[in-house]
Amino acid sequence: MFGADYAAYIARVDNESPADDDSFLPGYLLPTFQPTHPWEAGGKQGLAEDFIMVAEFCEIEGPKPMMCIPKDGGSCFNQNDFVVKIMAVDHQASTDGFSVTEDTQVVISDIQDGVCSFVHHFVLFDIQARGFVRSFCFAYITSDKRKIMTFYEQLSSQFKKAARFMKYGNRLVFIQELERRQMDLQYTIGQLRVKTDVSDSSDSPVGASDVTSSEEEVYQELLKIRQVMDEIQQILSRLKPLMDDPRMESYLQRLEDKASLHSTLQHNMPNQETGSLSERLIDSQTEAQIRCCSLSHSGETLFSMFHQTRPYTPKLVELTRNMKFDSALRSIHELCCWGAKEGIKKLRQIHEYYNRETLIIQIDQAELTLLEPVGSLVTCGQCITSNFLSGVCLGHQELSSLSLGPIGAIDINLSRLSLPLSDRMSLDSFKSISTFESFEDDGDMYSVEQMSTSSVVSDCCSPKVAAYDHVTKPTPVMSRLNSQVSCESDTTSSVYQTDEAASLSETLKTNNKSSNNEQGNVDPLGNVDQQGNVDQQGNVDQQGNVDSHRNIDPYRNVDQQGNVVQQGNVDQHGNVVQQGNVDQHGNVVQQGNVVQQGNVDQQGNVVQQGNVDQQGNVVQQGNVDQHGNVVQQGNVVQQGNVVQQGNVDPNGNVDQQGNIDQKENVDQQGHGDQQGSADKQWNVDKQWNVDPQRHVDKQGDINIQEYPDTSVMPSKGYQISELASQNAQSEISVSMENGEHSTSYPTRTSLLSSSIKAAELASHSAKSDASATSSLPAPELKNQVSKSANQSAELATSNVQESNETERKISNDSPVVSSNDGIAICQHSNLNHANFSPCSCCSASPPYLMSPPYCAEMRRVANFPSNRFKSEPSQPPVVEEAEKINQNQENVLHSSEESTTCTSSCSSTMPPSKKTKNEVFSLGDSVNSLQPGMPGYDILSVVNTYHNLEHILYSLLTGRTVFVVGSSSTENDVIYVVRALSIFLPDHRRKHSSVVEWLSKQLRITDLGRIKLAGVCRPEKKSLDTIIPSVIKKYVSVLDIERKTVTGPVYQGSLLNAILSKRKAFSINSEFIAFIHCWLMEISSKAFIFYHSFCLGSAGRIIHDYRLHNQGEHYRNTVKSFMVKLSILDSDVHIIEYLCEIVKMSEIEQSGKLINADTGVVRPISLSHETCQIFKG
Amino acid sequence: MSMFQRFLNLGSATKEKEEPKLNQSTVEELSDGQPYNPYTEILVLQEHKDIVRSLLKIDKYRCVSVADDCKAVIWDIHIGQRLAVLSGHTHPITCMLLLKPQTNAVADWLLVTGSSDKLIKVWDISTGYCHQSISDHASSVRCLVSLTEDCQLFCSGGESLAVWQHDGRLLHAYTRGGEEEDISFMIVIQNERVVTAADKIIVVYSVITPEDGGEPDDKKIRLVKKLPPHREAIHSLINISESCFASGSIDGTIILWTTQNLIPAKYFNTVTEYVGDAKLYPYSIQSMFCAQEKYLFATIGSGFCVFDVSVGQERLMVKKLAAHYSKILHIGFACDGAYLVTCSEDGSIRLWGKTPISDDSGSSDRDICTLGPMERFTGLRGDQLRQCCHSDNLLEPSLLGECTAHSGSVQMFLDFDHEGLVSCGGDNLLIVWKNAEMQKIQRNQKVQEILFSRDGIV
Repeated sequence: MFGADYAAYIARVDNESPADDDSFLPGYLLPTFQPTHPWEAGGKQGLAEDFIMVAEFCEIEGPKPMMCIPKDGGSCFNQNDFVVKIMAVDHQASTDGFSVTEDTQVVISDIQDGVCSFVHHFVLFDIQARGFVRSFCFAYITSDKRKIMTFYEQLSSQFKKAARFMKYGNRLVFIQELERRQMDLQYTIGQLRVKTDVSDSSDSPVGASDVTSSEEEVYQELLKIRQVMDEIQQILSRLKPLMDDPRMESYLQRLEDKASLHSTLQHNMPNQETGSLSERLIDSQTEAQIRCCSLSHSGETLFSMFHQTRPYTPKLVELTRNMKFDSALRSIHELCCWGAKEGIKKLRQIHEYYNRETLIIQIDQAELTLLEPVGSLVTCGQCITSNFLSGVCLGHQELSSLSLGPIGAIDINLSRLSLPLSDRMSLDSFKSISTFESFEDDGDMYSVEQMSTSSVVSDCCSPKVAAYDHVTKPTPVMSRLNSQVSCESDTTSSVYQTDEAASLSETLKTNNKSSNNEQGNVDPLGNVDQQGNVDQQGNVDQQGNVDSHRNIDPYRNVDQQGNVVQQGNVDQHGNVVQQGNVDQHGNVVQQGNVVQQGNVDQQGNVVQQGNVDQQGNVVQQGNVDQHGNVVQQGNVVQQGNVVQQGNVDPNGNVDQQGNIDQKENVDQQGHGDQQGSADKQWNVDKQWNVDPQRHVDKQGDINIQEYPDTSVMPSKGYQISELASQNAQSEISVSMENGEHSTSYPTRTSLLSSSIKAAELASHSAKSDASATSSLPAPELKNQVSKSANQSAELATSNVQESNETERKISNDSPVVSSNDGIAICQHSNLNHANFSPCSCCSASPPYLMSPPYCAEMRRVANFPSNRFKSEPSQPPVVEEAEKINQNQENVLHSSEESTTCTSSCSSTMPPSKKTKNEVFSLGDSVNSLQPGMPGYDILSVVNTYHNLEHILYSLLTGRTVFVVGSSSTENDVIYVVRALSIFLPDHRRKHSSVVEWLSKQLRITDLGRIKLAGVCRPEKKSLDTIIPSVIKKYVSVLDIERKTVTGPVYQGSLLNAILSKRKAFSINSEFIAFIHCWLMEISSKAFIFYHSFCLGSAGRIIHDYRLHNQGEHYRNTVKSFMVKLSILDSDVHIIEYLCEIVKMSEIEQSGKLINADTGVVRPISLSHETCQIFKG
Repeated sequence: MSMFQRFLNLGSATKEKEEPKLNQSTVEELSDGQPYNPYTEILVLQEHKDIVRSLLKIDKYRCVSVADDCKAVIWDIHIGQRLAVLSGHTHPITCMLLLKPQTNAVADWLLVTGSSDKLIKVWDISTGYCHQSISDHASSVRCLVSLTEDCQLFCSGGESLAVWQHDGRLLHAYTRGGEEEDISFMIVIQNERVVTAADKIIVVYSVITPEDGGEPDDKKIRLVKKLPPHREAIHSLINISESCFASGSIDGTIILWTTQNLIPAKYFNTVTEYVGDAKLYPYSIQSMFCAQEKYLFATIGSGFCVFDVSVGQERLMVKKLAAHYSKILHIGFACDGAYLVTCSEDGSIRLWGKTPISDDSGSSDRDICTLGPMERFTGLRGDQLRQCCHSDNLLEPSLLGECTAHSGSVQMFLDFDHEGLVSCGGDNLLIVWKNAEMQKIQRNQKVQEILFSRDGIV
């Protein structure tokens, strides 16, 4: 193949010095352009940006890239070389006659280039091509392998969709062409007949031999034609049954209608947006044709698939023509018509969406699940903070009745009831990009939904993959952080398991057995087990038993957190769970991989392999790390024993390890309280009592149900004992309140807070156990650590360091992912069916399970924002750049993340139906694409410039309007301050006018309801009262940026001080924003508890007293006493209350909207008569 | 006028001059965080384009407001929703009257509005649809009053006086003397008599069924009596009981009249020099109301007084002359007497009453329901109150709170008990004052309703 040779040649040439080229290369073979040493520029660090390549295995030239998305994508990348690699796959089944080849999907990684790609091969039909087929592929090429692995399922199904557009369009075209060919053939036969008739009648004197020869010729020709017609008939009979997607057809038809309308109206083909097709159509010929068409009012163009106003006029077919290789093959647009346009549009969307950091996408996807129900969404500074009702099921009647039914039914029903949204998780996430219209347009939602279910699994597994990736190949900053953090937990668990194995010197099999045995002990819970995951969103009633199980899960499969076991939970209790156990014990990491690919069969193999190889190593090295982290004494053996025995009394442990012990108690208490059946629980805990100790740092993951965590004040949180007591306390209180109705706390909120603490604990232990970490070599990291100025950053880094190392160990040993040129997994899928079922086991897994690990990750990230930039040895250029940019107060990743900003800007053009999505950012986006004008921009300098800001924040968080006052000369400063402070503003959405940057006309009382934060111009030579009347002045807080005074109610609390006290520890805005958001989530998680247990509880609706005043006082006291249980005191009570009020109001508004849309409801303005004070400084 | 009298007048005149200053300085101010002010949350209702003049309560959650922009608006003050805008008048609406729906119970109340554009319009409250526009009233309509309990008949006053059937049929129009001022206030007293106040003159008319035949429901208006006039224009005319009614004028005089013989029973607060600087009438009686048919509350300039008007024991009970910085425009009870509310031209609403004792035992809850408003206001039990009435001590209500949000004068307010207070003012706004805690409880209930009525969250 010329192309292949050429590409290979180019690759070789470029590795050599270009000066040699001329010496042996004939001039005509010289490339017409000189590539600018692309793959040298990119270095081994991989690509600057992900791109999608469409490539073809051309029958003339061999593998060749056709187009890239974006257009300049992969310009620094040896595409030719890579195409050879990815297209060197013969996936066509060699059967007799015509057959429809199924698509294949492959993950190919190229260590040398430092890229990894997801390749989707498919075949298009072309009547002019050899064998009527031409093979194409889409390849998503990225340097972040983890991304591919994490989103394998999503990518897979997205690519399938794109391919489906193309293939369907192609088939329509192909069938049309075949039919025309058939007509041609008929016509030719007719012509031949005429010819023979004519010759018969008119030409008698011709010699007999001539006659016979010409007859013979005709006969042969007829035979040939018959043969061809038969063939075509056969193809048609095969193809026609596949054209069974009327929706797709009508969709394409609509496109065509639209386009033809456009063309007739504008003498021009579809507008800019129609993209690919218009590109093709711009050439003069077609334009002329269109023009003529439009004049003649016949809609037919070259690309009409559906409208044929003019009947086809058949042509004579020249059968003797041999295959020619000189004519150019038809373009993909000609082959697929509208399908190509849609397919490429789809690819663009895919690119736009996935061309972000893995972590950002993950956060995005996790947070988008929180968008509904809309009413209970809590936002701060245009950023999703939490959702009080997302994943919460309040229809207690149905649930309780269900809980009596068979388990399978519960699982399924619960999953539907409790988290309907996450079904559409991935879909929603796509909606955040405006251009992802076709997701909806084609209406083929269910396939996407199904995809998402499987994607959940893959998402959950992502951390493990990352662990492998990490050493073999540098990953971008954010994703690495993610992987590190999550790996921390992974490794601990795997270590723990393998440790067990090692001490017993057992083989994998016995290990499995032991795990089975362990499960046997828990037998009574066996059933419950499977529910566990479901219930974490479910309601309290049912959870009694289930929760307990939830606690069991995590320590057995610590890393899995909703991974394999959860996967099994939906339908396949028995099998999958078993599988999960087995897998997880041995090789946590491998499993991740496998699951992602969703290929059940192959999983088995890979897993096995992984087990054998890894265990030994990991165990040994992992121990050090893990124990460094968690158990400060490194008491490996004891714990190991405990685990194996399983039934060992908790007290035994208690004696041995003080710290951990307390932790454990907390857990046990927690369960006891939460669940009615304390006894059973207790048993369980005893059996498995090892786990809480082991994973002290992973508390967040384990205690998914333990909302009491949220009550702990993180500032105090370092002391475990304190944690313990507070946990217990608040838990009791909440469960008391809960008695009335079933309320459950979605994993996320509780996770958020708990993971904060987990992270804190982890970092704490990491610090104290520095010896363990320093024993392992990590020079760069140490440097980083020493550089990091502040303590928290230090803690964080050291923590990361540790995990980093463990990670590294693991990945060194990993045989699977580091395969050099490997085709990881091929997956055949039948794309002809309307619903792509990604794979049976995956589609069965519940979609909602994704949240826990996600959130844990997110929180960790949020908690260690400094990690992201400082502890990244593997990407020096980025770090440098980052620091530069930081000084300019720009976002670090901004440069490499244009797509995200693009996303956010795109989203502003979204149709109104996606309003809520339009109005808020996800945390990932907002931190990632921080830029002037966005909330929180420049927050650090504001916080460091002005003192006593906690009073201002208090006002913002209690709904009291804040005015930032400055004279007209300081307008810019005022605007800066307003933008920065707006990050704290709850219920602030884009396009809402709650923030006004600059006001210079007089305010009215009505403005107070609307404006919550505004910059106000102090008029010259006049008092401020002309702008802020005295009536209004009473109800607002004022920050005077010139006099540096703060006027407002006094804040007496701890939550906000905790935010501001850390301000010196941050040097980058986005870090600080992440930190702030983390705290806002913390606050909102407290509000969540208050909301569910008080506002929705019976206590919230008692009218105590006939007298209005006394009533108010009573209520306040009740609230206060409740808040005390949540360890919320003083002014913080008002913050929590206000957040809940916002949610309540927006819920009422939502329900009001459903009833009557037009009449607006007025939001109340709270008039706190608190006395204001003036703070100077 | 004798020297002595002159001297006295001089003295009073100087007093007058000083008094405004005195008032200013002695007006109480709240400096602490208003712990006793129950109104901690407001809804600001915007719709009117001009001064909102008056309010009318429809039911527990609804009220009508009328403004100088010739519109009336019906509000749900519960959630602050505008239910209907009644527009059609070309001049400001001067008066409103609610008419009970006739016979068919399906219909909502009807609202009758009279305007200076000489029209009377009848509206459907729930839909905002104008049922009828009556143009028979030859002159501008200044006041409307329902003549009977069942709203079969109503009267309109202005230049002339007319009686109407509930369906809008004019039964009789009584033409008054052309030289007389328009009737600006009307009340109905027993025996279908209508007391009208036009400027300083009070005239009583009677609506009778004519003896000379005609249709059975035919009515005629007949002049009964002209009462002795006030010195200055009357700004307040209220019923006190079956047997008496009161009128107050801007000269600071309140006269109690007996309904039986229509003679003045008692004069209160006679100030000789009442005009004041620049004819501001600092003692003008702008608003009065009566509690328990016994206690007459009246605003006097920027202060207020409470009189015991029970026969034989007429006396002043409370005197608070410097309650506001400016004239009080409306006075009334809120929360069934727990607060005396005054709203003033100075833009504030003030709450008066007895400083609550915070730790009342629960048992008193039941008692408090049986208390009359006056007992609640004074914080005295019935017997204590009676004792107090006999003694000469004046009660001293304390300032419990000040509600400021209006940026102009507060024209009027309506009490919706625990639901709050609705005030309207010169800043074209209606403000609903609510108790934040009460609202929180209500929202809790509402959200629970919403959430638990759904089958899961969809």
